[in-house]
Amino acid sequence: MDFPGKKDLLKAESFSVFYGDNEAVRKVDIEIPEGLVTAIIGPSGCGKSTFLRAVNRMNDLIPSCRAGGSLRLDGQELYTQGLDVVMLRKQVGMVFQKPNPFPKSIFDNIAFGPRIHGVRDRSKLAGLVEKSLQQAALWDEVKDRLGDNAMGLSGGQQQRLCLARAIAVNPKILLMDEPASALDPRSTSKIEDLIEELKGKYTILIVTHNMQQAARVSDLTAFFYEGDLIEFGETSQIFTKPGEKQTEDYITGRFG
Amino acid sequence: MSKHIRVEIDKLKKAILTVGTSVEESLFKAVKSLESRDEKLAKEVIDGDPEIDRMEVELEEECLKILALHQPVAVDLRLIISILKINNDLERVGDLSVNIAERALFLAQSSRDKSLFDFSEMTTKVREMLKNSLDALVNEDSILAHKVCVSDEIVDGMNSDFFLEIQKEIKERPADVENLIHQLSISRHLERIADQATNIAEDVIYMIEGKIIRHKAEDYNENRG
Repeated sequence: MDFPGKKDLLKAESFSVFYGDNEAVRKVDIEIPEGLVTAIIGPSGCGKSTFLRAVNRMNDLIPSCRAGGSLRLDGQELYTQGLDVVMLRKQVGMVFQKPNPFPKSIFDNIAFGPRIHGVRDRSKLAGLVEKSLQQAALWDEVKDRLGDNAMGLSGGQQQRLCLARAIAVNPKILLMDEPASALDPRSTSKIEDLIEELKGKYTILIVTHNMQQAARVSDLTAFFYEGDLIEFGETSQIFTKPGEKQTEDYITGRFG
Repeated sequence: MSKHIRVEIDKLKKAILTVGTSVEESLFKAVKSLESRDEKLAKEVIDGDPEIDRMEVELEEECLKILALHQPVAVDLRLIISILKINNDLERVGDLSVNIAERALFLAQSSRDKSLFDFSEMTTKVREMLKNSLDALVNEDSILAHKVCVSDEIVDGMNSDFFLEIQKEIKERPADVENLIHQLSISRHLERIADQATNIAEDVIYMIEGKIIRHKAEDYNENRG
């Protein structure tokens, strides 16, 4: 797809992911433009999370897992020997389904990434922590207790903390795997608002089971089914006039 | 979730057909009351309109309920939006049938001795358009819907012809001006009903193809089949 003035940040060409003999993501071609929110939807087992996790090479942790074809982030081939995975993950932030703060102070959670990447200066770290928490709309709630353990925050606050932690290293792309599915409607709405706020500054790729959420927050929607990318297009078009019958059947709940 | 919305949508489809049938009947009776100068039949049309209005409101509320509770997307969304609009168009056809019946009533009461223009060709065409627009809805037949859109021009032509003829008559027989103006109005009401049938057909096309063709004459001729 062509978006004037938007360069493609993530580009998959005939990209596959295998678990043993099972091709969980099958020869996907997709170009994800910079600065927009792209949602990936599809039924369980369709390969959407596998695709998302491929972007920061999290699937490397699964012994039988291997990739084929090409996946490039900002021109850099991700599945190539000698790629520095630590440097890759500095460029790729990730927020998971369940908030997973480190059992450390709020400050140390956010400062963790920058420290790994060599930021030692105390005042610079403090600035980064404040900026990240501001961007995650959590600063006002925690600024007086940055030394408190992050595990003491509410679920919604923890998730925003994880988001702040992800953006503290200024990644090129933010991956979100069902980021609001464990949250109540109010906290969900805060996360959705944040996605809107962060759009433009970051490229966001979000996997969600909640179709209305995909419709609300994303500019583009990709529909995966049984490992294939069935359709990729503007969210407003996908949810009013999908091009493919399978997409229509899925989003209208006619599936199976 | 999916099962619930299917059940609700089936109910909506039945309800819009009920409104459609009632409106078709209302138009049929209005036209017949005109042709046969039947006061009783004209009054039946007028008295039957509140029931059509009631059905319209009820159906609209059902549509709003489904939108709020099920947040439909894609074809389901287009169907419900189309039904909302078609419902409105049909109610309007009901009102126009009442207008025709009111004219028929006048002509039956006060001009019993005077001859009337022959509207039969126009009424046949208009009723056919309404019927086809509803058939297109039921059978999700966009080719038939395109045909309805094209027919609108024919009815517009008939209305223009009546206008010229009646204008001429008024000049020749100024004493009959009241009677003639009523007949002119009938032509105008029939032409409006053809417009409403065209609107319905356009909504059916939107529902099926996801394409809004209003205000674009060139799209009418696509798929005219």
